[in-house]
Amino acid sequence: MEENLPIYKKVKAISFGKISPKLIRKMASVKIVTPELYDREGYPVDGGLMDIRMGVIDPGLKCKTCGSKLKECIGHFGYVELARPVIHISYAKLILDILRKICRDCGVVLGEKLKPEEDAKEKKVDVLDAKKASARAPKTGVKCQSCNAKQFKIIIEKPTSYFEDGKRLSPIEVRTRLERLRDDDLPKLGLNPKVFRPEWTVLTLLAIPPVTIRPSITLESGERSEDDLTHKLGDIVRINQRLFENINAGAPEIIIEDLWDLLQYHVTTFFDNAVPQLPPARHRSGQPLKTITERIKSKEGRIRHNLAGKRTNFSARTVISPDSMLDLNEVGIPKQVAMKLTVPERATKWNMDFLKKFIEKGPKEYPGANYVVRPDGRKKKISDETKEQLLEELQPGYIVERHIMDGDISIFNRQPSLHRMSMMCHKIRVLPGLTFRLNPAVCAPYNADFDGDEMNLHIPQSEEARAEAEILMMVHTQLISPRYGLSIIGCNMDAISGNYILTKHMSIPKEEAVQLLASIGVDDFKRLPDKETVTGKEVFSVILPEDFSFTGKTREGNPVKIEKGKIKEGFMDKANLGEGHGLMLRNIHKNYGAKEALDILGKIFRLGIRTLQINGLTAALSDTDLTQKGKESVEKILADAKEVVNKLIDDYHNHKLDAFPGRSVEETLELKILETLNKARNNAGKIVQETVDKSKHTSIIIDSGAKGNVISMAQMAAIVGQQALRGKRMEKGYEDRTLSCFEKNDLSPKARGFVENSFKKGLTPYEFFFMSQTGRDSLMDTALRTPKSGYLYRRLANSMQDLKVAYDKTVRDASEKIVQFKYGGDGIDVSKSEGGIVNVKKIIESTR
Amino acid sequence: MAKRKAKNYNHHTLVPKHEKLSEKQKNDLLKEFKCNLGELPKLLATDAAIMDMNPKVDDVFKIHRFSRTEGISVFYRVVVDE
Repeated sequence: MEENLPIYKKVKAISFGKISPKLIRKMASVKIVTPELYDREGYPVDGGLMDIRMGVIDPGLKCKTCGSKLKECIGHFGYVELARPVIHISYAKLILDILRKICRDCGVVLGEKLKPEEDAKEKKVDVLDAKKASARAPKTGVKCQSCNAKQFKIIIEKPTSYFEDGKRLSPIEVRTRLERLRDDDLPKLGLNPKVFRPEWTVLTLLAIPPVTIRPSITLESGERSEDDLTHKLGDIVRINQRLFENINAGAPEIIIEDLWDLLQYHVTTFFDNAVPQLPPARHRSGQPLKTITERIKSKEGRIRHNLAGKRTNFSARTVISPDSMLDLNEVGIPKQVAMKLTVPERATKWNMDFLKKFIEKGPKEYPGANYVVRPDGRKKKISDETKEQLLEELQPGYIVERHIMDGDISIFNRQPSLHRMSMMCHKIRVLPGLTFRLNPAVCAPYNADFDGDEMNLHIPQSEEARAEAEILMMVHTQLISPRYGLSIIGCNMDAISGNYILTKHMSIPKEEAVQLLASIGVDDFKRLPDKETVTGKEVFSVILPEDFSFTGKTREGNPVKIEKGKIKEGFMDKANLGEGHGLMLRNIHKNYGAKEALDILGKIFRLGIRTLQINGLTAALSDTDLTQKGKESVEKILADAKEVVNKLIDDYHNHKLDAFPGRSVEETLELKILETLNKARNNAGKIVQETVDKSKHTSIIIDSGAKGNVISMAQMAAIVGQQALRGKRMEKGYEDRTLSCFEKNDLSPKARGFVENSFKKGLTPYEFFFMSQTGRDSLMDTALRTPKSGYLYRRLANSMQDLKVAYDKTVRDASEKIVQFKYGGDGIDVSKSEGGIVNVKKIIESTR
Repeated sequence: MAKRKAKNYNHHTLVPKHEKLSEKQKNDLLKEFKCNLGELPKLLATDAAIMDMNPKVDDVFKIHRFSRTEGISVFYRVVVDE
């Protein structure tokens, strides 16, 4: 078996060269002499561009070179003998560099000092690249050190004409000069004589690509439509023939030159149809031809589109919508999708009857099957006609491609797939409707919302793929984020506020509690205390593991204590349940495992939502009402701030304001005003926080951490605050003022974007205008930043893509080179820590 | 570029401490990480931080630098010439 062992080799170097005319002739199987494609019978002309010696694209024909049929023959090159040489556009710059660097008469590399023979041998050959060569281009007047010939300045007239001292150098002359270069001198120009002779860049022969890479397509009307490359080649051959004829007939030099230039144009656009100085060659319809460079280049080119881009079968895509009654590791799919996507199931003597049921139902009834694969690999579509026969034929070894059903494995994905949680394995649930359904709690890892987002679903087709997806990619395996070591999936919005209300305020009759628990999927009510009314804490405790103990803190820092699966103190909020927080979730995960944690999380989530359905949660206008006292103190704060600002402005005008070190007086004033106004807004916020009714729903939403913060409350109730554009108060607009309703050089708060009203009270027109300004600015900012950060991330991900942590905790790349001596500097696996920290104290305590 | 006069940058607060390893320390290091010189991170012989320490190709330098995850972190680099 030794010959089957893999052989490891390292690529040391890759060398690129230019194909030589000799090789072109050698590898070609045809010499193309006529631009005609087909004769009257529609058969390819011998010596034409569709000559069947270059491969076949018609079914039934055989290749004259290799004798194989369509698809078997990979095609063969042909060649055209150009009547006059032309410059290869890709080498135009290199040719210029070389021409400037060598003697016009003897072809020696200019500027080298003449040294005795032995010295030259010892001297290390100084390899110059083409750029360096052009930088040292000799000026007019320099003489060759070897033959003493005077040198002239050579310029290029883009794209392909060279001029020496005002006279044009024809490609023939260019070629003869390049021919004079000796092989020994080539390394000095950065060229390898084994694979690259400079004169090969001036084409005398043109290789004609095989027809297989430029197939013609037959239109419905029976007409043939040729590939762009064939069109271009036809132009080249036609002009080339005309040039030949004119030369042989001894036509005047001008006509020959014109045709020569035309040939140069056609050959250039054959290689690259986007040369800046040339008009692109077009179809009759006016659309530019896609020639060789365009085929390879850019996003739609061969590399990024065909080689790096992949497409899949057994996948589906549609809009997503929420369904909190699904498990977190489930995905709801429409029946229509379920009837298109299939799972191959191999028939054995044990599952024959099971599989026959699917075939009986066929492709139109759910759950049926679409195809049957025979052991020889032949696929048979199940239809009303073939159904009976396939049923009879089915035996062990056959494969039935049955519709996907509840419990099948799938991989669910949302682009951009920025981290590994962007693709997770979900179990199928076939549901009515036309959208993919997912539990809103798994929106966080996908970064999904339901404003029209679409997601992709893939069905693994082999046993190995399914096992791998289930073991490595199932939602519960992705619970703890490797970025910060906390649960990335948690409760959000309603689930947080619901549990907050339940565990903080509520107590309900036991009957209702049982119903509540039953509705979220709990069926064991033993742990509910035997009382007439039970508290919300007791209800919540039922879903916790019986021996779970935990101490933590709420958002505001109050203690939370859970002992033996019962909440003893505190209540639930974002700090313990939220996505990316959830220390309680983290502890459940650690002590009871991922599956249990996911199950509990799903129950907590549903419990929160269900609680709100019973209790109700809404935002009333009166929620943001301030007390009379509160109103007065806000007004006082505002008036005080205004006074301070006015004082500052007066001081400034009276030159009494002292500048901060390193700042101008104007800057100091701005800073001081900003500080004063921000302080006023913050103080108003504090007043709001103190005076507003805590039992009101808007407050509950904010306090539980479900949505919003104190500032947004203050903006609704008291003061919106200063609008800032690029870190400064508003200043742009009219000359020396923001809006024409203010006086020039007015520095007062309201003239510079301070919104002193609340959203509830309503904004003045100019306040509204300032808000629109900042709103537009932030909109622009996000719109411009998103693609930038996306590209930055892509570069990072690509550069780090195959780094791995070795067994000795070093981080190494694919060639085992060390990147870090200890992973992350501290060797901590973040996904096994609590928020990136290993709590040693806790570990010691838990082992006691 | 003209060769600058070797100056000791190693005492500047912003330059982490560089320390040349002895031949034995070097071999121990390679043994510890089971790697060869080519697999170590690189450091230019002309690097300002080691200019005054007479660096030669294949010398290994131990770098002590501050890291937010582990306080003082130790890193190794091999001198290359390119």
